[in-house]
Amino acid sequence: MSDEELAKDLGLLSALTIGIGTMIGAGIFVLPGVAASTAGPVVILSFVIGGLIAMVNALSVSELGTAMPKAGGGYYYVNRALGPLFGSIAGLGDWMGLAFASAFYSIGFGQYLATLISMPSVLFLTDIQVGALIAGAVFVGVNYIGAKETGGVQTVIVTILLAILALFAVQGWLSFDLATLLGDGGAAPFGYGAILPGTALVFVSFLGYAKIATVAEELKNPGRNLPLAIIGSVVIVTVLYAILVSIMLGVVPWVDLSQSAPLTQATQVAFPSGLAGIAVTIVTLGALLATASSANASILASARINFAMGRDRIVTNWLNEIHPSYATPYRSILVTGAMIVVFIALLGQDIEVLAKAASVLHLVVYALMNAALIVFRETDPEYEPAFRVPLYPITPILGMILSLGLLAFVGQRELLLSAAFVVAALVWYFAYARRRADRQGLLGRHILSRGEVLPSSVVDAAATVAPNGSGADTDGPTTMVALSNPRTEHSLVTLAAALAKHDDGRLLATHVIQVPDQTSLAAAAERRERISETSEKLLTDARADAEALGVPVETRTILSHQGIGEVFDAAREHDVDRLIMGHRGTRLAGGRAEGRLDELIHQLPCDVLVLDERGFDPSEILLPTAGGHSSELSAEVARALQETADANVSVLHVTDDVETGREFLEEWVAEHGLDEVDLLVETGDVETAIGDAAIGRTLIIVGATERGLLSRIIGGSLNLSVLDAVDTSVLLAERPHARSIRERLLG
Amino acid sequence: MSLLDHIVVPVADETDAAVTAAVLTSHLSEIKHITVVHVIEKGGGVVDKAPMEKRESDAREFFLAVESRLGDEVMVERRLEFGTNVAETIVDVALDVSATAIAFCPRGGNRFARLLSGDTAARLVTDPKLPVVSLHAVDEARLSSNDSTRARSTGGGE
Repeated sequence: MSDEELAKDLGLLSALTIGIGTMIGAGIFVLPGVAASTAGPVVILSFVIGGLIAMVNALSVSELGTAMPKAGGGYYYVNRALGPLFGSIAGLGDWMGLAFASAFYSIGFGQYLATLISMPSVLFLTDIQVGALIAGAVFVGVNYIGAKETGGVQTVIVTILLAILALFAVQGWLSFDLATLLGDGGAAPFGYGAILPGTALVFVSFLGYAKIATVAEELKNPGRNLPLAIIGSVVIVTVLYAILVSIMLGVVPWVDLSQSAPLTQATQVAFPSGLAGIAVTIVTLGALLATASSANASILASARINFAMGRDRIVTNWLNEIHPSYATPYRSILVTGAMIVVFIALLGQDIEVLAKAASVLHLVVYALMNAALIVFRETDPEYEPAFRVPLYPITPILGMILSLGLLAFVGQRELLLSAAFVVAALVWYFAYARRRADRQGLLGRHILSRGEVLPSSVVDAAATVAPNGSGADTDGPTTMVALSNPRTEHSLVTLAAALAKHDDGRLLATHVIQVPDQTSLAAAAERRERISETSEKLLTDARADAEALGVPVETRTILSHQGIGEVFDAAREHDVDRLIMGHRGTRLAGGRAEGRLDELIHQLPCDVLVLDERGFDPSEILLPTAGGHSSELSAEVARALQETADANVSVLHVTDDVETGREFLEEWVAEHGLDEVDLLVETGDVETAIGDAAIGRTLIIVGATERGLLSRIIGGSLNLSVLDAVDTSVLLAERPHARSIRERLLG
Repeated sequence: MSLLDHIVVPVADETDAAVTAAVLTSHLSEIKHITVVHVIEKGGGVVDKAPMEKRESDAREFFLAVESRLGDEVMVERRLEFGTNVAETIVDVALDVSATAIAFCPRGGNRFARLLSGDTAARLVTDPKLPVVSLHAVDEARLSSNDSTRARSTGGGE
């Protein structure tokens, strides 16, 4: 079996049981009593409608999940499509929603536990809350340690649960009485208007299907299994809820149904007295198992969402460190655990609040997810889901309407809570995440790229909320500066910022730390500690220098093992248009294989500029040219420095004949858009001419006239003696050849 | 051919990787080839304990920690594996690459922690299919203050 197959070990059955196992705990064991008391027998319809709303959303989740089988689920899609502003709402909403749901499941657990063992009440906490707190602590502890589960555990749990429920259904059916179901007040004692508020209350029973999407990266054949598991689990639980709640209400009149342990009560009534005791115990154990498995799945899913958010820098990645012994994301689990405990302690006396808070937050996420689906379909040419929702765009629009519409029925308190939450998420985004997040959403990019045809208010709004970690200027070119020495930081950043400013681009300042190739650990570790301090200082300085010039800047530390190779990789990864490095920085590759270095240099990721150690002063620029490929680049750089740094540029051409030389230069200057430059034509030895012209000038820009000039200078095999002899700073410029790949192939 | 000619070195985390590499430096004269293995434990049909992408990117750091310290002296190869049984997977890799031995630093930890995290060390040395070398304890003097603190905290259990 390949690694890929071993890494993805969740089959259809496992995925289905994740969905069913998460959902079934709440709907059957916890909520029927509470829900029936608010809606009467029509609560059965509340469950069915909840299932239908869940189904519409499940279709959308399936499509998004097959297009992007990534950890994080709903958050990931929303962030990609709508950007980190909505990503913050979706991610924090999903996370809080799961914490509320876990608190709710824990309370459900506590309610059934209290029927088995009498728990004490402590301070302001009821016996149920005490049980729930213990349960919550155990669930968190189990996930912290990551107790080893083996394949099939979840399947066994779900099978046991289904068996218990089947047992109850059969026996309950025998005691079922339509008159009991309809009771004195008829099917709808509170009117049919009570159905939708009922749905809002029980919607928490349907939150499990989206958990499947948060572990999509672990699914075998996600294109097939993900939609089957998501849609299948919604269908199965909806049918189960409708049947079992009907039976429950046909056994115990809705007015009498227990608020805390409805299924034990119904079992007590349905089973003949001799068997009732043992049946109640079995059902109670089933309830404990069901609520525990729901809470467990929610805590696991929340760590996935944290991971995805940390990767996009919406929360700190500190949360996502893996425990060295237990291999669990222990910090994330502890923080989520702390929230669960707080929710149980503060809100646990009213299970409705927990249930609705969880539902509301998830509904907000679902609405955003449906919007994300539309954005993907409309703006992303590479979006290729294996499963497509039927009736597009009706399905996602309906999903949005239903999700937001249901919010109207949750009640004012929960609605205020969720409004407060959305505000908090926005504050979080603008105060924390916006500066860090570096990926703009598809929608924002789409709007900004169509600035001319869209109303300016829309474009302005998109620009205002765009992340400025980098995404705000994704359309502008990126200049990357690779720093390795504090002494040259200022020169390099000033040069880089001047160029970035010229083309309205942004600056990516990187500190390249070469992980030393020493065998002595002591020296290595010591050096690394020292370097990480300098790194921070260096990048802070770089940021200040760039910001002084008004250029948006982003910083990164690159831990490098192969030196320049990683620098080039980083340049490719960040889609950099221009890389600036110091002369010493190019020697990062040090004593490593020369062959590899050569190969690297022949595959430049972008324009490369190398500045020597003599500082950067662009006031008097000398630009020697003989035409050629890279002289385009040196002309561009000179032009940029003319504009942003008031540089005086002199162009030098060395030739045998002054007249043709002047013609050549005039043509070349015009061709490259250089105005107001001094033209110098010299005859004789090239190096002497350059050396003479350099006197009194502050910077020489040398375009590599042949491919590989740079590589030979960097590799140390070519020394232009004149460049070493002059006092003037030298900037080498090389532009990659489009044909270099073909050349490499053909030798 | 020496016992340490081609060793398979399992690493569990970054400290483990750094410490193991440090210990191996004193044996480099005998070693020609090191295959570094990190096993991501799978349940075989249950949701992973941690996001897989995170585990994979961490694994690359562990490999780098060994390569950066030993890569210039001997050939270092990486193997990222997935398996339901960490010890078995390590042995499978060793047999697969025809290693001469498996060499590892016991990570210590009290019995309870070992029980909870699955005592891979004990499983490796029980019924071995090839020589298993338990490397000597870390020489504290060779570690930086930072690494020795980390080494101690790992050694003392969590």
